[in-house]
Amino acid sequence: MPGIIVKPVTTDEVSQIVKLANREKIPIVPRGGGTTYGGTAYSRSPEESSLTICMDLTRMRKMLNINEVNRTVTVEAGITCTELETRLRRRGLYVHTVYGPADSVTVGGVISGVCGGGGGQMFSSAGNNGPYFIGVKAVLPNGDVIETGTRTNAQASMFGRVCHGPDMTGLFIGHMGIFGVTTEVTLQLFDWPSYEGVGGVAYDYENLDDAHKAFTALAAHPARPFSLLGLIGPGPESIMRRIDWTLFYKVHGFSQEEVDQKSKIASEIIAHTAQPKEWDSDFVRILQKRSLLHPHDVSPRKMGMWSYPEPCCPRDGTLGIVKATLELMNGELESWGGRIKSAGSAVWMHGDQDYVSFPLHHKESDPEAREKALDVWKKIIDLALEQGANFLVMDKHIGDMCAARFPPEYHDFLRTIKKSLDPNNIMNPYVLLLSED
Amino acid sequence: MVNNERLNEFREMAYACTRCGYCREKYSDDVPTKTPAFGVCPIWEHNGGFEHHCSRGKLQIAQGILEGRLQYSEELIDVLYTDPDCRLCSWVCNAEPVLDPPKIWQAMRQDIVSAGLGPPKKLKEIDSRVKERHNVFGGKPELRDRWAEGLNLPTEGVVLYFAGCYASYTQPEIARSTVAILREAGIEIAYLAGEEWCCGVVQFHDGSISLAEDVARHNIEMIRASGAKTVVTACAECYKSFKVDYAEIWGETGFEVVHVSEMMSGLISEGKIVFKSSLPESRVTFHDPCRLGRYCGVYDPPRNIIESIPGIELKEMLRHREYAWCCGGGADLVPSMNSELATEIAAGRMAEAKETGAEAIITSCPRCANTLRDAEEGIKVYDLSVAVAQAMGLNV
Repeated sequence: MPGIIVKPVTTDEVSQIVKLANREKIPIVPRGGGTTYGGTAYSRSPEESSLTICMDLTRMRKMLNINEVNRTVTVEAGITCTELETRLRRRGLYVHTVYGPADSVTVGGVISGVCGGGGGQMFSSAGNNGPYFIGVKAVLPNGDVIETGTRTNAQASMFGRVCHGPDMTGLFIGHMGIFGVTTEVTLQLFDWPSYEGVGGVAYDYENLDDAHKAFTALAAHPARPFSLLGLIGPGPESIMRRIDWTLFYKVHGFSQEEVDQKSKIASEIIAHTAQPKEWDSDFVRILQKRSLLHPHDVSPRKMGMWSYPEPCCPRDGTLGIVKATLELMNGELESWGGRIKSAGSAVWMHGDQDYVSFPLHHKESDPEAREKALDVWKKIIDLALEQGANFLVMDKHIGDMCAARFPPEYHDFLRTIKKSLDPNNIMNPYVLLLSED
Repeated sequence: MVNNERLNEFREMAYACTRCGYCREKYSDDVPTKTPAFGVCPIWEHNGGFEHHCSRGKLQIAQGILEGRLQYSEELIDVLYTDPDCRLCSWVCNAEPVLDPPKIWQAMRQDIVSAGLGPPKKLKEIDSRVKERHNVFGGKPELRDRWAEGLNLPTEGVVLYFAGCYASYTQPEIARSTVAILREAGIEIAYLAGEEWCCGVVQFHDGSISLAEDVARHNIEMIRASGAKTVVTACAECYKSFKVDYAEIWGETGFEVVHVSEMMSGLISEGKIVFKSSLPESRVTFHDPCRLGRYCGVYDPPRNIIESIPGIELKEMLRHREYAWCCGGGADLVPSMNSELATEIAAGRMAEAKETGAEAIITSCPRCANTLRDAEEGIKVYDLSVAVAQAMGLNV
């Protein structure tokens, strides 16, 4: 736990705190909504923690500027994704933020804590949010305040990301706070396509290959008509019951005709690739029939905490990783008699990659199950990394596991940048093995 | 040394938190707030926004206590008692219905009391008053039924009115209005006279559970002795004590408990309550008491009643029904720990009421009415029974 908690309201306050911390060499860990899966690292030992500052940015939550002509919105980093999205939605506008739990996740948390900046409500077609972040205002570890993007011309507004040299906005996407504190974010605005349609298609348990073939064909459509495209299937328990695979797609459009056309594309592709067992326009109904619901909706209510290994896979490797992971989970958990559950597995189209999740739920009051779930979680991460997947949602534990596989030259490169910006190593120093010799 | 006996009973619940943070603020399409995300925890919102003031943080504290990583310090006890147990966090919880955070706080408070570390001073004073004089104010027991003077109420009967401490000592107009309304509708009303004791709501929440059980046992015995089959109360806190706490401890009590809003709503439908007048204010709003709404699920009857009063327009506040914002006074916890904070929370609620354009706010809990009145004088606060009696043209 941190010894000091600060809740600044302005960038200037952040800057002053950082300068003070730098002078006194006190580590700072920025904090948004506090929803990081695996926690953060305030210290290397409990004795050190009283010397760490937790910088809670949730009081910095103003929407500073909407420019509908330049298509930008600038917000303070502590605004929640839901608040931002809903305010914009009421004006018929949209930004890519995060899928959930958006009510508490902050924009600053998403841009800093998730590699690529996370995925929004339409992450299948849009992919990572990274390209839609136009610029940031950041307090550097020495307390200096900089702006990136077109604001590198002090006379310009924040209307574009790429200009005047390297893309320094990217430095602050997924950086986990090691290069400074992001206090403002400018995002690209879109019109909100208010019409939507969904479809659900079931494949027999044996036909994962067919289901994946249809999924890949849908994902490959050049127009990327699907705002969400997912393949939902068994976890270790439901494998025993030979639960079917369910393909789910959602389309958005600016008219019903556009939605119908996009849905028609899905029908044609599925009909030409692999015939499903059942179609249903009601996705939830098709999941309910197969005793599957999205794990976010169901399992926490029954089991409490989850471990959430979520590798981001190259599309040509997804099927292999899914099969190997399910086999691993099944073998590891077969004898645990339901003390560790999973509501299923899911493969989501995430731009040109696939975002795969294998939620493991356990009761935290069952320490043995917790330990086992964490052990399996680590094994899945290792397996996925070994097979060429990567991880986007960063926290202390996943970050360290990924960093352990960095090529030495890359790790040195990262440390060199960090040392150059932060010679006293005060900004979130205990992640990505940056403080290790 | 705290043995955590009660908290251990809620171990599963304490670990059910998914840490989503919805107990801090939440968005719902049901609540058309100006800012889409609305505050869930009044303490988190009005007390600096630190994690240990919202349920997510306090559940971490509970886990720390269970694992021996934390001890009950004075500061930690202060945090656990500075909470109105308003239950909005339970309503929005991602892990609901498994997780009902106030139950955990109540269990922890019981452990604190068992270990002799609580309750804090002002709550202990209330406990003493309830123990010695059977009411939260310390009023003389012989004055408890002064509100009934001249009404000639019997002490035996099928329908019994339970007034509660507030209506008995500080807001007698509620008791007299309730009895007048029900009598006008043709219902014979009995009462417990001086044998009515505090319902024990403060003690159920502050952890003094043996005292709560003592007063509850007494009330149940007296009600049974009166021959009552139905107990009606106009106090949301008394109602919750009977409906939830007494039922949890004793199960079947042998009598039904109804809130006066439920009974009046039925009587209006049957044509037994007739409004001959109205209120001076034409536009009103309704404040849902936490213990009537989120604890007992009573939302529609008060609204049906208000909408039946001629010439009255009901304007809902932005946060209403399940999402209603607490008045800050619940079970006297926050007012006892930090009266300024309770007033600030209530002022926020009154500001929300004013935003509707309402000229008056109606509620059906004397404690809510009291807390709201303390916070803001610019808008009239009615108890529901008082408003109904006035609209019926009854002289109470």
